[in-house]
Amino acid sequence: MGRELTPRELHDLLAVHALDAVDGDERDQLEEWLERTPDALEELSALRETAALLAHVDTEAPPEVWTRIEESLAEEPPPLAVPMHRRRLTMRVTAGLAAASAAAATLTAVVLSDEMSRQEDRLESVTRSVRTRGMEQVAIAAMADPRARTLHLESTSGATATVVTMTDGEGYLMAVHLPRLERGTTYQLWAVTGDPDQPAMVSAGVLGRDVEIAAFRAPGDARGFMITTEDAPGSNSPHGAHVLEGSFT
Amino acid sequence: MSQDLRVASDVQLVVAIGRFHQAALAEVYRRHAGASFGLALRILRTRPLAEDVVQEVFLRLWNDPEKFDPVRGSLRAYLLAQTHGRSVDLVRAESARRTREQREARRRPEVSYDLEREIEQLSLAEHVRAALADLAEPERDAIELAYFGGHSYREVAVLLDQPEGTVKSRIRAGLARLRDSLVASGATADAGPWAES
Repeated sequence: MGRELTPRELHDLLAVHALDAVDGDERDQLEEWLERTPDALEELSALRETAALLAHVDTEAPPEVWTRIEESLAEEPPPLAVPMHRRRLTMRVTAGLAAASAAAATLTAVVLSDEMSRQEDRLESVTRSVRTRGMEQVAIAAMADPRARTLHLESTSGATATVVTMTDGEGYLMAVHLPRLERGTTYQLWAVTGDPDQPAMVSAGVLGRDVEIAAFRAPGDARGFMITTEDAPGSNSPHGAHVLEGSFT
Repeated sequence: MSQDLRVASDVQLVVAIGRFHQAALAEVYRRHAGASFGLALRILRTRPLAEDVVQEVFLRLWNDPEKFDPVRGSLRAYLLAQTHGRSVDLVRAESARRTREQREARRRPEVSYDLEREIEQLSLAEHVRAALADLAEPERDAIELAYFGGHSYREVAVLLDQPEGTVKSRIRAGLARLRDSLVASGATADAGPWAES
């Protein structure tokens, strides 16, 4: 272990670190300092943007590398290669959205597999990560997309939410005044699809206890959405109270 | 490749990757793998190793998409930083270093020429080349040896026969000048030119 660097000395190393040219003990000290110095981390990011400009020497990427990547994905745990919509939980109900809660008891239960759980873990992880890092901007940008569909969900309690869906099924939820739930419960988003006389309720995501903004994926033909409260970690069908709902006109 | 993915932002693609959307990863590869490969090849100088690095970088994005932070920079900068870091790790492996330094000694006079030749057909690259050319030679040498050579700043100091503090200052000043120059020329902005494809 070398001598301890001062904050000034560490700061002076930022540009060098952006080029990965700091090593050994200095690098360790620098990375530790960066973890507790957000301003410095931000400055390092800007410097790395500049470093990336240096790398602007585009070469045609070898197609065989992509082939290897694809093969690696196939060799990874199976769920990585399976499109999400194939694993989505689909249940038939016998009434429309307004009657969905009553009909929920008749829904066919689908057991969440381990693979599904792992997918949900990953989805939640990415959603949480991006949510705190600019999801709002992404969602707002999506709203401005002429191909996007926007739906306002309403409740009698004063809470509201806006759902934006893209043609490929990507969607964003922005909620206002949705109260934080108690431990052991979670909000869950449901998409309403299929025949209006016999709609299918599809879980579009477990949202957690405290929802402001979230990304989700839902069938492109969703006619409406609703949010329910469910027992954690989520439900196969909408058993809990309806909090928000709305339909595309 | 769906048209939707072609027009999706990089951040949207990462969200889609988080949802196991392989086509989104393919689109990210289409956009950025060329730069990643070009950088790795430049540092490592061997195609098989460069290919391995590109593969590793994109698989890492697939496995840990949440590690990309859109607030901290563009996806391209993130991928290139990953590429650079991994390439430098490899090049600093002791056996590889010894071989490489021998090659470096023979090839060093060609570095500037190679850089110019490789990027001359790209409009942004033209700006980068001009900005690099505008740097004072000591700054440019320090940056190129560190970034493309994979050397630590202490090694750069030895190679250039300069004090370590001087090398640090030159890299810092050179990067700042480079950025200012590229912003002034309109080649980049705060968010970087690749935030949206």
